[in-house]
Amino acid sequence: MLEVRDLQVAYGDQQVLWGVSLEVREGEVVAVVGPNGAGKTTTLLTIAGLLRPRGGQIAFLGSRIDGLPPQAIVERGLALVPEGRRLFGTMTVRENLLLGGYLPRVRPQRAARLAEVMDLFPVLAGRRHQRAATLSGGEQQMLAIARALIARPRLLLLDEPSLGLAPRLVRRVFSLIREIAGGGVTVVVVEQNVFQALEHADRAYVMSNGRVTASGPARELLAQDEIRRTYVGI
Amino acid sequence: MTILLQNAIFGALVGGLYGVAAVGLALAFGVLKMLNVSHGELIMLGGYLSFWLFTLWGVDPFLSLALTAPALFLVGAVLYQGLFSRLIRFPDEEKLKSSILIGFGLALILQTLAILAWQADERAITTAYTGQVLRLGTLVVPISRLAAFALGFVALGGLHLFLSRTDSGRAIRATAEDWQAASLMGIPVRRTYLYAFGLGSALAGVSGTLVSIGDAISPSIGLSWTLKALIVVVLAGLGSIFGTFVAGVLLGIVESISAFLLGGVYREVVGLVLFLLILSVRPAGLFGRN
Repeated sequence: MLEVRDLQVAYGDQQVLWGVSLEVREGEVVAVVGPNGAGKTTTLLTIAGLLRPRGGQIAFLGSRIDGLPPQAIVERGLALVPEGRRLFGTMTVRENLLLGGYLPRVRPQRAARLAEVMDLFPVLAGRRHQRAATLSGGEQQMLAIARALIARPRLLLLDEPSLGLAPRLVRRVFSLIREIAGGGVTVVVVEQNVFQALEHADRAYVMSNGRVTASGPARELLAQDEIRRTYVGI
Repeated sequence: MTILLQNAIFGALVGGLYGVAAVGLALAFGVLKMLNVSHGELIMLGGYLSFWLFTLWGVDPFLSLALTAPALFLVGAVLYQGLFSRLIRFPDEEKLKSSILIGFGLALILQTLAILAWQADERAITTAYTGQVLRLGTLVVPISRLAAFALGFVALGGLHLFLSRTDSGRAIRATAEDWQAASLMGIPVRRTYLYAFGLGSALAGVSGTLVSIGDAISPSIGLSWTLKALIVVVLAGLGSIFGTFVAGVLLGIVESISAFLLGGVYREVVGLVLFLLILSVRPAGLFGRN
């Protein structure tokens, strides 16, 4: 479904991705883990069109998307929930969700989608007229995910969804990810919380210093001593 | 006391127009992070458009609003596409500085063209209702200025509804807040910038028409309107249309009362003092969000 081949990305003259290749198949939950500065976020931003690669290719559903603007990529069914959630803080919960359904092809079903999402996230329903900036961290993360789901993407990229959340909420986020995947959405999740991510993913890529250093079924990676020592801390 | 109140009324009526001018400037600034210092010249163009529509074809200036707003939207869109859009990829600070430079150049060009086309003379629209007043006891309220004030308020109300109730309006607000997140929603950010700049210019057109109803216009009025709009934007802060309108009215009242108490030469000074005061005491403005 998503094929990233030999991706090279630089900020100015500082290269941060050195030939990253990944593959995501329909229906999978794929985790991308690794230390800070490994290039995980850069990879997602490039896939979503917010950064232009210097080299390499990105194919989604069989056609090239590298170099397309973000709005053309989301139009094709690939949504990113960016790091730090990037909600429209001065706008209400409802307005954020409406913006999630901005695409013309989504608008006719937007009211129904809004109702669906409110069912999935009852906390949001009660706060629909509240400004997004006034929500708690967990609620903001739910809203960010809900906002991306309104457009009913085929592939959802999540960047550090558990960042800054209490352990109970982290578990809630990961069970939610399984729920979303169960609904037929393919998911790529970038995480610093390596243990949780590997527990819940089908497959995983380990990145460091702008390269993919290991990949395979998540359970197998979790069982590897080196990965346990380096990232999981047990 | 009565004379003070009378001055306050005149000030408030002019101040409403400051508010409308400022909202146009703030809209483009808030969304694009560019300061169009030729905003006042766009107001001047709107004023002349109404003047000529009235003089040549007898079009009532209030009716000419229906033409000046879309006409200035187009002018703004062309200026954006031809000049300002080149700055879009600059870092914020350079973008702001460069936009000010472009705006200054543009202001000079527009002013010179206006002098060449229409001479430097002051022009005024004199309709059947010009000079008619409403009497409230000993106070008088010029009807045409009152109507201009009210129309300005209605135009801002319309803008508020557009920005809060429509998809395009929400897209403009989202882009102002975080253009990257907006693009992830599928919002065409570049087109949204164009619309926002055009809308800001359309409001300059509205302001220009409303100015031409109560005041004389000439090619050189632009700078002073840009300044008023800037002071009001700083006074109000970004983020509230009605806050900006209220700040405009406030500035108008303060100006006219201080002109009355201290003498006409202090009219401009007081506004600038207020500007510095707010900047040092409450940089986010009276109604601004952070």
